[in-house]
Amino acid sequence: MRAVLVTILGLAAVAALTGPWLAPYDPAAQDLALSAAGPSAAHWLGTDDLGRDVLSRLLTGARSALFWPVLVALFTTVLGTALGLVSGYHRGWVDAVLMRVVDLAIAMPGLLVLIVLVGVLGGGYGWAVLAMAVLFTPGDIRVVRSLTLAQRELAYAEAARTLGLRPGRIMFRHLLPNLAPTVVANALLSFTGALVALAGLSFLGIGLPAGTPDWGLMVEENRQLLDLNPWASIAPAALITVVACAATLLGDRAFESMSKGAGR
Amino acid sequence: MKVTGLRVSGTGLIVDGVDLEVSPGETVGLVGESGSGKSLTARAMAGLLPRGLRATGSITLDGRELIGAPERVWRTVRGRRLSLLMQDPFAMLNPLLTAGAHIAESSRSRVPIAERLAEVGIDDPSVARRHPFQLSGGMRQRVALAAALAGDPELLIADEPTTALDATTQHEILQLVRRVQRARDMGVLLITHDLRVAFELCDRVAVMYAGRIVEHGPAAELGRAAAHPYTARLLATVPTVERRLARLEGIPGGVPPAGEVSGACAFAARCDQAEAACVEARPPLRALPSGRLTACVTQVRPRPAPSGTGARREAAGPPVLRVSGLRKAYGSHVALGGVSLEVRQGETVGVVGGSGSGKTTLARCVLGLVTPDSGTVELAGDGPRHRLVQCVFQDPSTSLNPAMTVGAALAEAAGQGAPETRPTVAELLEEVGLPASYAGRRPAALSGGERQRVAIARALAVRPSLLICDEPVASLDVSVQAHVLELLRRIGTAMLFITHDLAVVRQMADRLVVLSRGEVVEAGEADAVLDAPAHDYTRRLLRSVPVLTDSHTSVASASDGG
Repeated sequence: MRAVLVTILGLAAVAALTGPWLAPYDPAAQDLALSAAGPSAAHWLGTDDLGRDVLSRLLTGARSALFWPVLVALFTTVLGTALGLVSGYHRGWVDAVLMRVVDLAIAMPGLLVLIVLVGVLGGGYGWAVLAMAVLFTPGDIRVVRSLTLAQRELAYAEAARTLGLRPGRIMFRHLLPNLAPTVVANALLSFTGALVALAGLSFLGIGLPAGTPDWGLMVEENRQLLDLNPWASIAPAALITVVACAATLLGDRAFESMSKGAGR
Repeated sequence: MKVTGLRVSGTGLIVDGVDLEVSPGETVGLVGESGSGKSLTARAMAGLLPRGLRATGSITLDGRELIGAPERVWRTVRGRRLSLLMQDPFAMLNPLLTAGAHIAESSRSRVPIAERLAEVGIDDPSVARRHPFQLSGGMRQRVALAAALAGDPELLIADEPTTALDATTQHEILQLVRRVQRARDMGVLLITHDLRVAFELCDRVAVMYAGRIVEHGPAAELGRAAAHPYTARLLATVPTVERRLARLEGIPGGVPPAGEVSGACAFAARCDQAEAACVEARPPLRALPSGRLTACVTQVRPRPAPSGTGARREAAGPPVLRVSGLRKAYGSHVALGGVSLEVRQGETVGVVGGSGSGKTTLARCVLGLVTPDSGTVELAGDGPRHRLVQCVFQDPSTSLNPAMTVGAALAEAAGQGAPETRPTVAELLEEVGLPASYAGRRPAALSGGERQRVAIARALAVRPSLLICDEPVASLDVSVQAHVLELLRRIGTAMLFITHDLAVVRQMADRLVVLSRGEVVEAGEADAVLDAPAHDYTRRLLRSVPVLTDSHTSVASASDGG
């Protein structure tokens, strides 16, 4: 099971890195004579209404579909873990202030903020990614903080304080490795969240200009072709689903196996 | 209840052929160290094996076979025919339910809850309305016992019921179990790692080792002379409160997995009487006179009684620690009410007291983990506090970072010390008697005793002038306790030795401070205080220590009042 999940995400990563070169056709090349054709030897997944090769557009779109979510996951995990550790370890006023900010951020309706922000400001995924990073981080902070509160009371943390170690070292060298299962699971969850949210924005037609080879946008634009070439919208939808599920399940498994390893 | 040929296996064999019988009105002790399979035997008897484990053999209650019985049948048995009392009453009671609700839940008859409480020695009916966190440890265990008895079971299985309690409370609970057992003519199976507890309470005792019973017999007979070398060694490792021994003897090695020794005597590798026959075939339990059984092919050679008393150490140089007028309160609870004491170079000062006496708060104040409300802590020497005083904590399975290798933890600790005295990891491991190859291991790959050695090495890494030991052997098996205590004796650093166990403190301390409710009630030379206690509280502590001689029977019946 784990091997399958890793393979799926590995293939997705390969597509993201080398997609434009793997694509058999120029993703923008139109062939109006072959509009909305079903799968054939030349076009494995058929073409869309402008006669563009669906497979080529999927491969080219993999980069933006996966790169931005990875960025969001990295940002939220690093920032969320660091702030959560500091907040939970030091408590006091740092914790109080940070937690009120977190409360505020969590109270915001995420997708709505994104839609408004990107709709008003425009400019592709840039703002959306930034907003998502800011919106996702508070959740991570809270989770890491609550675990830190529990870990800092354990005897090994007390032993580290007794040794006169600096707080930074105790937090990042002693507590952090024991939080690793949660941190990894958090990162994969943020990735999934961002992947689905960005696809949702594209589907709503917000963010990217029409015609960009993007998974979410393809689902939306090729919806009308469902009876002519269903693959044109089902394939990108399926890709989003499979990658999102694989990342979530892998996060689950990683959490379980890592916490077991730490417990023994 | 009768158990025949019980085997429990998961990925490996854990319990290998246990025969046991508990009759009404009888108390049977199942004694063993961790890894002996005693707790899984008890769980199998209650049909509560963890997932992935399977029991085979036969467990019958009044002739009715229970192994392989569906959960539906077990439910009619548990609570009504047999009941469980577990080690940690705080984990066993639901924090959201009142004491009364716990009892009412398992009760089948209309006996008033106040009566149920009275049976376990709680005369104040308002306790029924309190939640577990509002009760002391001893009270919680009483409530748990009342709940276990509420279904009027014929058999009570008590799994380490007093291990989490301090000595005086432990004694009271044991007396209570005995009294209830007699009044109800109920069968009791007591699971414990503590031989002294088993002898205090039980009619018969079965000693388990590596998944099998190696000796079985009447408690009084067994306490007088062991018929199996393992029991003999175990008895020899129990520290005595009566005098300071010159040498504390443990049992070398560790318990092998049951599956590896199923064709031989499980104890052969650690036995100094082992012969060729011991490893060729598994010795069966053979009968001896006076109703005893042993799984040893030879007669146990009597061991010479540990000779003499330990040499008194020449106390002492200048003081390394001077605590005066230390006060600390948490809200309205006074943890320390003005404690003063002194530790001089080269001596070990024992601090004893029950739970809530303030001994751990004292340690934390000296370590700088807690800021006292008033009073002073003076440590001799210059430099930051962490180079002057270090601590060995109670439970090495939590005091070592599970994510760090032994080598990394020791190197980090050594790095906190003064550069001119900095030891290497190999030197530290050697000091505590561990091979240098252990540096690459993580705590999870070590046994309990080995972990505590690593924790001691870590504390010594900065070359502190004072070592605080906070219950350093309380979470260890008896057979390794002695090794760790002997190691601590050899170290020679001035020590503040905190414990609730008077037998342990007798072996370790030169001077003694008795704490009760945050106040020093008695202090003086350890031998003098323990031989002739002046304060009432000290006398009570001493009385509650179960003793391993013929006198244990008289102690057991002396204070039936609880």
